[in-house]
Amino acid sequence: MSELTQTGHNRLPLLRRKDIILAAVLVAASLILLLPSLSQKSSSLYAVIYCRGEKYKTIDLTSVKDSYTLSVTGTSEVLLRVENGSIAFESSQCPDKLCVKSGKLRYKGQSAACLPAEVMISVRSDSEGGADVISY
Amino acid sequence: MNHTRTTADIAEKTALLGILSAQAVAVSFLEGLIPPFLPVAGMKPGFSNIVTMFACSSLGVTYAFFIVIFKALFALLTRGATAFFMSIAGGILSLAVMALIFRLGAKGFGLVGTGIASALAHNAGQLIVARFILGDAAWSLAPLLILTSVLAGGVTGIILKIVLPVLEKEKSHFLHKKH
Repeated sequence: MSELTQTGHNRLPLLRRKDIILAAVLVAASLILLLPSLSQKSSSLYAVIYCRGEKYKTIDLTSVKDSYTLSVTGTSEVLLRVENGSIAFESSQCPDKLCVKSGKLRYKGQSAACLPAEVMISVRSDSEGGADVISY
Repeated sequence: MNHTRTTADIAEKTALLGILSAQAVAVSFLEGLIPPFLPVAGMKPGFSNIVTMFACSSLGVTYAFFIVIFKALFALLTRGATAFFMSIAGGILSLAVMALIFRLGAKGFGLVGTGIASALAHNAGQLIVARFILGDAAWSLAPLLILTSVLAGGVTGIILKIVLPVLEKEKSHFLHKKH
């Protein structure tokens, strides 16, 4: 055991007061940033599709009557499933399929991306999106 | 005699580095099998940082750097170029932050704080890469990433404290004790 007590780790405690302050500050900061989008009372639901870094299309999810499949081509083609109140990656040619595994997005603030194809979808309560998402 | 000692040293270090790299990759592979419970698919707790943090504090930054590179190359082989850039950007930024904290010694953070700070740096690195791919829309993920790095980074620090005796034993199995 004596060799263990000489290592750097035991001079490093598990938790210091600073750690708790750091955690508290970060949690507070993230909640402040998240709060506006959570507290917004709105029944509108838009899906914003970004393709290769730019806004490609905005879909009003509340007005979708019949679900359909939308093809978006970034660096490769992805298929998006658009339904009333939700949007999802249906298929993609990317290797890891993380986008498809994201499942249906149905709440505002949710987003999913297929980085290899450079396509991102984001669900929000306003149709704007774009650069002002920084402030939310 | 002196020469033989040095050659043996290199062999021992290489073997230990191989084991640690394999452990880091195994941990990140295993956590990839967990069904996504975080709101953004592809977000993972990043527990392989346990190995990187151990290497950085107990063996030196060079060891940790090689593990980061190895992990990125593994990502390149299994998941492609995007995953490689995400992995290396997060890995190097995270390593820089943890190396700085460990250097501060008693003035730095505890293991929980170090885990949180390096998880935050990891996410920041990945977000910067994502920014280049997705445009400014990527920033909207930031609040969530901050919140999850507190949880995942904190847990990483706690797990490191628990598995520390095992990792130290592993280290002394490969490296001759010099003290």
